Amino acid sequence: MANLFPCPSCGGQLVFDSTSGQMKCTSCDNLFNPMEYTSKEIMQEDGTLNLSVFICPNCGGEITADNIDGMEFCPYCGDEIINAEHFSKEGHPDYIIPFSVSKEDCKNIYETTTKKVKFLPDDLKGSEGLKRFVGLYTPYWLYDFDAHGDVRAKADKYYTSGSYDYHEEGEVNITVNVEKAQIPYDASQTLDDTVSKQVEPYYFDGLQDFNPNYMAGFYAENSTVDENLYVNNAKGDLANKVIASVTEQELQGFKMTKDARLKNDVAQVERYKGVFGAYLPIWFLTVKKNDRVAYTMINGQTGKMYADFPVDLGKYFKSSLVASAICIVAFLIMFGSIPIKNTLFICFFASLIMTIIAFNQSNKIYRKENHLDDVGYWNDREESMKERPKEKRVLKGVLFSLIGGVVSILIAILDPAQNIFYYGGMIVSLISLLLGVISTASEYNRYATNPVPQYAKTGGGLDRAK
Amino acid sequence: MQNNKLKTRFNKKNIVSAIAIFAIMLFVVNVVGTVEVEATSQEEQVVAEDGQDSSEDSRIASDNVVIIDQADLLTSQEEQSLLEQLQQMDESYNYLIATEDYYVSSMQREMEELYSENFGADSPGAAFVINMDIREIYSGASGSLKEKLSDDDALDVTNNTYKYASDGDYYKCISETYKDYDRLINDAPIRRTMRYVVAVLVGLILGFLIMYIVMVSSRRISLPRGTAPAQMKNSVNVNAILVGATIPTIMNVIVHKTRHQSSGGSSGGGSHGGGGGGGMSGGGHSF
Repeated sequence: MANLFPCPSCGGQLVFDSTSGQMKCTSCDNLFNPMEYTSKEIMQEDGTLNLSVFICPNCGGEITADNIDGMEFCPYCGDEIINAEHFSKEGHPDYIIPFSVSKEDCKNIYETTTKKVKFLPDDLKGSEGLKRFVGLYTPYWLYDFDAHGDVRAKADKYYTSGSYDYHEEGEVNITVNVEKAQIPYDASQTLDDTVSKQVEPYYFDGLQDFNPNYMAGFYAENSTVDENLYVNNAKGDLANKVIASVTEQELQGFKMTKDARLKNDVAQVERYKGVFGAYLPIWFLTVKKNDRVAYTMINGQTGKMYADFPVDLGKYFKSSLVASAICIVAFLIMFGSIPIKNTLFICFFASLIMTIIAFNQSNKIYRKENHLDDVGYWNDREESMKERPKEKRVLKGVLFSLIGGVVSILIAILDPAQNIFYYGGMIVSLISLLLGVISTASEYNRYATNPVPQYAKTGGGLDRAK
Repeated sequence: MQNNKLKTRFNKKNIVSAIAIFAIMLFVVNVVGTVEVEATSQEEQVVAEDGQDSSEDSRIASDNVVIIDQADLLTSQEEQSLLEQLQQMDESYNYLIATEDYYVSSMQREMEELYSENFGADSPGAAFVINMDIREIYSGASGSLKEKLSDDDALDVTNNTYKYASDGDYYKCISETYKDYDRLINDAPIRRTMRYVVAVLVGLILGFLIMYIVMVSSRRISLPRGTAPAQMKNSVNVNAILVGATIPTIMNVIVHKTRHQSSGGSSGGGSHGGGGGGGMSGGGHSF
């Protein structure tokens, strides 16, 4: 593979070093300023990049890079990359935020975090998993706005004087002056919108004009989402920030409130100027297990981490038995004997808590598996809003958890004299709780992982945005 | 994931088997407990000489024992037998047995009043009441005997003996209650099935639930939030927002004025029933 970033001193391979912010030779360790280094190999005469697009033979995912010699595992499916196909690719985005968090920093962040997470499967811990971190420039669309003009806000003031309560309401004119606002949305169909938001914010003081030198040693994903898809979302985001700035202010004791007129005024002063493409840095860790993959993402600028860690049910059960033993002893010491009817309340509240947890989770799973909050997945806003049917398995956890509460209520209503009914009620509550926990934890593991992606379409380019 | 293996272990068949085994164990505990008590009491089973109830006298008493059978649940032979049983217990304590068939709102208060009427409040002793109207048995201790017969003890004892009242054998219910009390007074152990069964079941429920909450919350709060790069302070997804007010004025002000609600109202609540100090320990069970 041709060396697109040759070292001026020894001809070795240059890579961008996120720690120093310089380009570093892998052979002689010399450092070079990325703003000053130029390579004839990377940039064509017509200004296009001489990078290649490699396609993972397992999932079809596309990776843009000068070479993938250092990449062992695909960041999309977690499989080993062997004999990836490649073809030439033109174009580049307008901007880039270079990596400032190193792979070593990532490993430290990951190790520190996983120590605090309970019941983590062993294959997500340890040094074996840490080798899989891949620095990937993720494509983003930056929607450019400004806003100049006056908006009207409703203002209220409350106070008491003597025997009277006073409420004064009025209006205030505020001048809005937003010189430049760039609202980012990820341009990757595979990266769920809700997930990409979890590693934000990015600090756009660090945004630079695109320079291919920052890509040396790293990889990039092609954009697969139409540039106009998020315009309305971005308008709404900016409007919310402007409104929040207005309503945070207090004037002569008056507080501003949000109403329909303020929203309308803000919408009138916003001006959409266009969309630009940018590469933003993310470290990916992808672990594959059977037909699912678990992703960990670390913001390559700030170190903010997002991960959905699955649960090792075996570890959970062992710990729960220990916790139960402690609860039993504590219960005997603190409470001794309690009237048996009171146990129904304990069973009912345990069932209620578990039902709420299971229901909340089933809703999240439903939205995630049907991509209801991921406009980019559908590449069409209206398509993303359609109702999807709930799969029955998602509600199992809710149903099981509910049974214990229902049984407790029934026994309370019947109010039998014999203890055996109360014992039976507690046993049913315990079993329904256990079944609810198993179902909910199993569903959580599906929520915390993703199906192995299978890609069909080849990427567009961030260079299309102007 | 390991889930598939665990799902196999926890499949429906195994779960049903676990339920069946556990339920059988509990049932056995219940039955064995009853058999134990029955075997013990066979030695002292009272057989009425003439098999006739005597309802002429609903109250018998000795120096430290009072039996009031207002509900006419006991024959005269049974009353006599109970009297002799209680007279053989520790003489330094008083003992009350009462049966009644009228409504009471509080068995604890009813027991305390009956005991106080017959022996005086806070005098050391034990009481047992059966109420046929609300179908509840209740027992407890007064004075210094509360140290040996606590609320928990009363609850455990009535839990052991309520089933006799459910079966209509009121004599045995009372007799077995005072046998358990006699054991406790002499610092001997009694059966406490309910206490341990409830503790195990509630402990398991709470243990699994608490660890699930710990599992979920550890995944939310552990994630590092990152740090802003040096000298980059001004970004939350936008480059700059400047919002200012140029000579702001509040316009078109409307003033609403309301008078305070008067805060008269009665002061304080009624006093709660104080009653004498101490009271009795007690616990009961419906039957």
